[in-house]
Amino acid sequence: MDLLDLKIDKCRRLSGIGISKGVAIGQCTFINKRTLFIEKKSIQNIEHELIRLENSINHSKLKIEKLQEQTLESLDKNLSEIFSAHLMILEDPELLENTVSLIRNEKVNAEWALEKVANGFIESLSKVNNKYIQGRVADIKEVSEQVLNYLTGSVEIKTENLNSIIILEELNAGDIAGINRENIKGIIVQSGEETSHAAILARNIGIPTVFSVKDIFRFATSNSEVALDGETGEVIIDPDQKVINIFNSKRIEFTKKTNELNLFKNLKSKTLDGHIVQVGANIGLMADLESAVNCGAEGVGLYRTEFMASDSLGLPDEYIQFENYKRILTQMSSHLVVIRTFDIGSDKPVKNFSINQEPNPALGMRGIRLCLKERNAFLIQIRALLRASVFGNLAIMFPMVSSLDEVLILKEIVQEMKLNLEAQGISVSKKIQIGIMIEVPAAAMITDVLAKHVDFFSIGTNDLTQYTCATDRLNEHTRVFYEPFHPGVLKLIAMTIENAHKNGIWAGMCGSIAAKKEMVPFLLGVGLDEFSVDSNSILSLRSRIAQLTMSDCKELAKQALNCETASAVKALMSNSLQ
Amino acid sequence: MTIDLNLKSEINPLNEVTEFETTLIIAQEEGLHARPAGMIAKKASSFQSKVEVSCGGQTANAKSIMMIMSLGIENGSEIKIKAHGIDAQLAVKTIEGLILNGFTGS
Repeated sequence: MDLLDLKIDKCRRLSGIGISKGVAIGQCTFINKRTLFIEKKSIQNIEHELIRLENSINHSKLKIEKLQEQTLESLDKNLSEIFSAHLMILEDPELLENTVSLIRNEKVNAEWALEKVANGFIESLSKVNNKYIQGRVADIKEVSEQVLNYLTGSVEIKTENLNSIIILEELNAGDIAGINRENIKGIIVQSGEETSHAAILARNIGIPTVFSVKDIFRFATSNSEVALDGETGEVIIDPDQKVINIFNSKRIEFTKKTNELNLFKNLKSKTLDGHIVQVGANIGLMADLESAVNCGAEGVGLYRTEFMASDSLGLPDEYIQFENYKRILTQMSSHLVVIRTFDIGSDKPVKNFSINQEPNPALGMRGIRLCLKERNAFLIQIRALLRASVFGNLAIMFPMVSSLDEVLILKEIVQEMKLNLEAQGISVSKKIQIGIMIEVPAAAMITDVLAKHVDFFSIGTNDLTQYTCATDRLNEHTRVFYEPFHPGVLKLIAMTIENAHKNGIWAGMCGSIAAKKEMVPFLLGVGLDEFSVDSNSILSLRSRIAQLTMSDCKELAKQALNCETASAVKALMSNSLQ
Repeated sequence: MTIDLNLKSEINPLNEVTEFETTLIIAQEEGLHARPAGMIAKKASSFQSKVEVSCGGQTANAKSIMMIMSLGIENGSEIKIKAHGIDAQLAVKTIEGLILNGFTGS
């Protein structure tokens, strides 16, 4: 029996976006990220700490102002007044001045200073014998915790309840490292986007996850049981026996499929007619490395180095970087490891490095633009990469390249660092590959030129689609315009691969559509050499490739490139699935 | 109570630093809780002068909602408003007006 055939109350059947595959049934556990523990740290750079404080307060103000605007629209006067009170607390000169002088005088971290000052206010207000004023204590707590959350970045997310489905308002990329898997059977998030950084990371932790379940806080209580399907995005509150049976058979089906896929673990990625491609893993956290190996990755197609920097510590130092690069290279032995230099900015900001509040961050200082500006941090990364290169098969990849000039400067920096290291007697591998991401349409259009200067291209389809369709991929309102199947996007992909091959270099893809099964025949057909996907998609991709023949794929690609609309492309591609 | 901007120069035509204070009784049934404290802080913040509120031997920065609230000013308390700066008199008069009008202005 299918779930859709069952009569279930509207308030019990919710839906969201399936993010991480798998089925789970468990007890609702609401997670409040605000329960955090702040450590006192002594700091050297006071100005730096003051800027962090200011940024975090400004960030919280903007957030509240936005919420206030929304409530003004809905004419909820009480709510709007609460936000006004919150803003007044954030703008309170005593709060700011006392925190600043604490940072200055005691040389302590901003979060500790702010917590101490806020707690001082909370304490003195709690003593006032006025119920209205005591009611405000909660506001101060809420506001200061909001600022503290922003300052500290990640918090440990855990639960003591066995068999929990955890429910959160939002889950940021920075939070995912803090998820303690013990007891957590599934994750439901009220907000979130399919292509966000957080979604990409959530896919890798192997817990069934559904994002964007808008009404979950309205209908679920802490006594509820909940069933979720991380593939379809279905969420059922208080499932009855019939629903549980369906979910259980889904789970059995999922396990069976997983077992079948496991047969592909040690095989090559080969079409029916013997064409061989590489399927590598996208990794961000060190934990992903383990799952990449477990899933039979043929190397790493993308290591997102900015993940080393996503907490409050800023960018990692050379030692930490070197150790991480060395570990990945060693673990992957002879397989190629593509390490992408810091792709910071836009939806992936790093405190104290990226520029705050650009009016249009996706079109702003990000990727290589920021690295070439903040040259020192970049040089440290290149140095760590070159030193680690002797431990395996390294490829260095630069994100957000838009011109040949950038490629030439980047190559010169690498070359100079190489000579510098060798002069110091530090050996560097002779066979390091240098490649670039193709994600800016202007770069895709000159791939014939760029191909003469690099060893490979890797097509970043998420950003390439966003820039080609002029659509902010994190903006809920413009989601309909974000269209990876747009003929314009497909043409840029085909062109990039063709220009690579004409110049004797290889072309890969590390965007999320590389794993979409309807897209695979097209990508094979236009000659993609390497697919880099999240670890848990590797085996299904490999089994998909094994069902196809290159002659069919080439024919399909030809037809797809002649399609006039995205819907025609989709129709063609889904027909090819049958 | 509205104040004409021209009044400013009449009160302190040469922009001299002055000090000004006044004492008044709070007639607010619930005392100076969040809303009135917030209104005082907002008004006080619009002046350059340093503005203070004192009650029961304690003094607070009148530009800080949290400091005013922490004084726990009850109905019937006597408070002192004191300002120091180029617009001290105007600041004190404005806040006094706000309190005497029972916080009806915005």
